[in-house]
Amino acid sequence: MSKLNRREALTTIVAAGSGLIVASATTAKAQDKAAATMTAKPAVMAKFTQYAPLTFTLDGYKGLNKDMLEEHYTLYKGYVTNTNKANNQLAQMMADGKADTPEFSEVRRRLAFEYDGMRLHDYYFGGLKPDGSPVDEKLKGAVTTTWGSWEAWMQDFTRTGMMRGIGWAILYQDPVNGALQNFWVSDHELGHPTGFRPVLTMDVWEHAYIKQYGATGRKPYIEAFFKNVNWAEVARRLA
Amino acid sequence: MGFSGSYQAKQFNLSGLTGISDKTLEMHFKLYEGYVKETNNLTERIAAIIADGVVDQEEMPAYSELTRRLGFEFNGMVLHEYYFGNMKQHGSGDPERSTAFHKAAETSFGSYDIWKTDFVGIGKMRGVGWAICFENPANGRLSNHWITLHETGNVAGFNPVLVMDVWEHAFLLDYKPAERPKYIDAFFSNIDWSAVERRLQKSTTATSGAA
Repeated sequence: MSKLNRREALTTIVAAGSGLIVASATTAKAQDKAAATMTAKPAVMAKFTQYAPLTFTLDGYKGLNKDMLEEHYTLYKGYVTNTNKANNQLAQMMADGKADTPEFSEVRRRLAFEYDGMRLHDYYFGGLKPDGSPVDEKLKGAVTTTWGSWEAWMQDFTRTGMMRGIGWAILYQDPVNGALQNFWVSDHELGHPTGFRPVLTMDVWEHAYIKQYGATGRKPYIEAFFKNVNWAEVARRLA
Repeated sequence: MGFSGSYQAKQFNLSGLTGISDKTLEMHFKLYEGYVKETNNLTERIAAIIADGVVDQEEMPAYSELTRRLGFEFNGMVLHEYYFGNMKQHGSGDPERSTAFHKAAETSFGSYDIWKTDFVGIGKMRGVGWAICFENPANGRLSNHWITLHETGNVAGFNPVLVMDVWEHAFLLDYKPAERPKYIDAFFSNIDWSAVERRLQKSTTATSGAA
């Protein structure tokens, strides 16, 4: 176990480049000691990607007012900030040899919440356009093949969005066979089919509609949502 | 159908709270009534399936889903009753030092302030759910818990004594999403500590002798 850790540490140092080779002798020595415990420090600090919030049009939508969308956008930026923060914390804790702590586990446990909170909102805002755009024929064809008609799919997607609880309705495409299916996702992270492509994502957390439609106003919100879907953009997400 | 076990929505007179608007409360009551309705709905539909003494293969998916949702709807109903029930107009902020709750908090956390730090800290956790102070019925100890949604994290058999809703609907009409701490402050200024006191079971008897 300690041998393996030492070898891994050395490999990492070599891979990190010549600049660190001088330091490697002392680091490796320290590593011998550290490797005896579970809290071995890596030779270099991990570099996780830092994300920047995307920009979206927040005004001019039918039935989704500017104030609500601006607040929603601020919330989205919070997920981006927290995703970056979580990544920085993980890297820092690993570098400090604190990867076997409850705080490390907590950040790791919450990672999908923050990542999905960020990415699902990317898809959500990115799939909207004031007044929407005409239904894409390719998407319509794919949906009709599966549900029998465009309306039947819309009904199923709406029903998914009306499910009790907070989360998302998502039209997913199976990358293996191209098949489409509507999914319910609880919170941001529970219920995603692994590796599937999100095609249309609809936020049905309370923050998405409560200011304008009240806590029991999800139905009119969903109707408003559909008036603003950028179908051309959504269809581009299909494989 | 008139199912015998059906629940009735309770009435709460809470208008005029500090920092929690009547508009929020009205919306919140309506939402609560939805949980009562859905609790009855699930119960009735399950009753209809089991009435003939059999859950057959065809009934199994519906039966499973209805049963799976019970924790969400029941807790959505009950937790709101605890929540509305532990607030009042002109609440006192913090409990009197002489109260059983104050003493139980001291016994369990070292001091009331530390208990409060913990409870407020839980209320600020990311995600949607509840901060709940439970009493362990076995020994009267208090512990604070985070509940995701309505049903994930409740401690079996523990007695909820102080319940704070931190779903978005509890504060989004009055505050921005990032202003949850302000809502929590407002919640504390509206706590009905006498209601909390009445909920204590073991702690009351355990500490009354020492009082």
